[in-house]
Amino acid sequence: MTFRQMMERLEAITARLEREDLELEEGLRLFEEGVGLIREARERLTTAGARVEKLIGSLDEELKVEEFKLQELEKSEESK
Amino acid sequence: MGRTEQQRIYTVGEANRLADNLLQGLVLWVEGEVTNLNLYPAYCFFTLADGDAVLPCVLFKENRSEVAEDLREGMSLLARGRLGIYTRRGQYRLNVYEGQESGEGKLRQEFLKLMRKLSEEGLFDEAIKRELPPYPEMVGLITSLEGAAVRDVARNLTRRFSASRLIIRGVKVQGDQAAGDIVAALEIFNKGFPVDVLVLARGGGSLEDLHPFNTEAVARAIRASAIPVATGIGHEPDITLADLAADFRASTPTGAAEAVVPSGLDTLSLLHSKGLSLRAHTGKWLHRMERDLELLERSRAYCDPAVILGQPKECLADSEVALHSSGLAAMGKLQSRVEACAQALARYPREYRDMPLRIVDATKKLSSSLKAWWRWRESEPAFCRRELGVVIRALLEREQAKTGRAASKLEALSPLAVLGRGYSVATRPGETKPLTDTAEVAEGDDIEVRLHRGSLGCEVKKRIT
Repeated sequence: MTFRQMMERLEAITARLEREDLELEEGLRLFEEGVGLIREARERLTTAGARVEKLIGSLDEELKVEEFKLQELEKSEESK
Repeated sequence: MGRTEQQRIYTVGEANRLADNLLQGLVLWVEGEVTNLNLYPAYCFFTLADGDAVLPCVLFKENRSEVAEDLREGMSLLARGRLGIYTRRGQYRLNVYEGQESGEGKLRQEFLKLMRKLSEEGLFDEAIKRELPPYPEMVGLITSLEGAAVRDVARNLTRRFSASRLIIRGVKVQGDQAAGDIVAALEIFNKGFPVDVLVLARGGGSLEDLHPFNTEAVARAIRASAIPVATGIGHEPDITLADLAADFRASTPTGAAEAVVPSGLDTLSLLHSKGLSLRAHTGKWLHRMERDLELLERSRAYCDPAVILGQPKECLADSEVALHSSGLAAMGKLQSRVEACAQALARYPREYRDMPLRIVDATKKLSSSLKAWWRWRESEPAFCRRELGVVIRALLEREQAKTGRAASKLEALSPLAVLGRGYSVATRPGETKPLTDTAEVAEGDDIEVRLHRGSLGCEVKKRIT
């Protein structure tokens, strides 16, 4: 599930829980799902930092990504 | 014409210096297009021109910083300076102290012309600009792999929102190759590596440096991109055609990085408030259910289930009494009739005696049906009175009819009924087996003849065979 899908699902769950016609079981299920989504989203935001990659190659040949070392770029900038 | 003694003879240099002195007081602003620009380390020469005339200008090193940094051929310059004569050459000129770009230079005119054209085509319409996706999984960055722009975007983007991936496509951002590179990079992302949003970035520079971003090809490629494009080109006041064509324009690369991803901190606090509202809503309906439950618990029906069952139970009791008494009465009546028949038949052969047994079976069935119903009533209190009544009544009627038919058949078959029609039965005294053959008795034997009412004691006088 993408981060966006998670946020949209969370939105839908909150909207659903706002309604009065909820069965006990469905309500508890939605609540659990919502809490799980929040936990997952928080983890994604707080654990690993964003990956930075470089796209090389061309449309005619093969396109591939390789790691882009931001730190090295910054070091070389500093040394200049 | 003639020269008087009083008239002084000037040297060339003196003449020039005199002219220079005469002009010294004139400090003025002049506007014109820069032409014939010659740059030297200590000074530069150029002329300011307009349609009417040209004015030679000199700009000394010490004043260089006061004049537009990108002093160039063709630019329109508003210069402030002092008029004077370069005495050695007798050259009239403006010594420029300060100056700023003004009006529309040639490049700028070209830029404006192209901008008007694309604008008229609707390429820059606000209405066709797309929203940037709120939480992009992948962000594509088109910029030079060297320089401040790539670092600024990468650093800001990764610090801001760590749930995204940044994919960088290195391009030339300056020079002849740059526009082609940028157009190709846009195509590569669109056709070969679809990201959620694209950033086109470059550090600041002169109008000339930014030229690739002011080309028609780049502007059109941005508009043709199926992926939304955000630009961060140059410094604050620079605006390029690429910026105008983009879905979102930030004034710097850092600004573009901030525009394409949400703030991680904001998102965390949004998640926090979502969590709170999730709990609040859940708490609300749990509380509502609890309250409903409490009301139910307090209700009389819940405290005393008999209240719920009361009405049907009463109905049941009513019908039960009615059924029971009518059933019993009917059975009693039948039983007494059966008993009477059975008694009457007691003295007759076995085949007749089966009859009362069958009747007793029928009555047993009836009574077991009643008992079954009784048990069912015990186990199923919430029954439907009407249906039960109908079933029981039908059952009773059927059994009554059956018993009634059996009784009348029995009555018809009873030998007593035959006796009623004038026939009589002869037996040995004290026996029940009817005499059917004269050989069974001898003359002088006593026999008993049973009539419809009463019996006769007789003696056999003669046997007639």
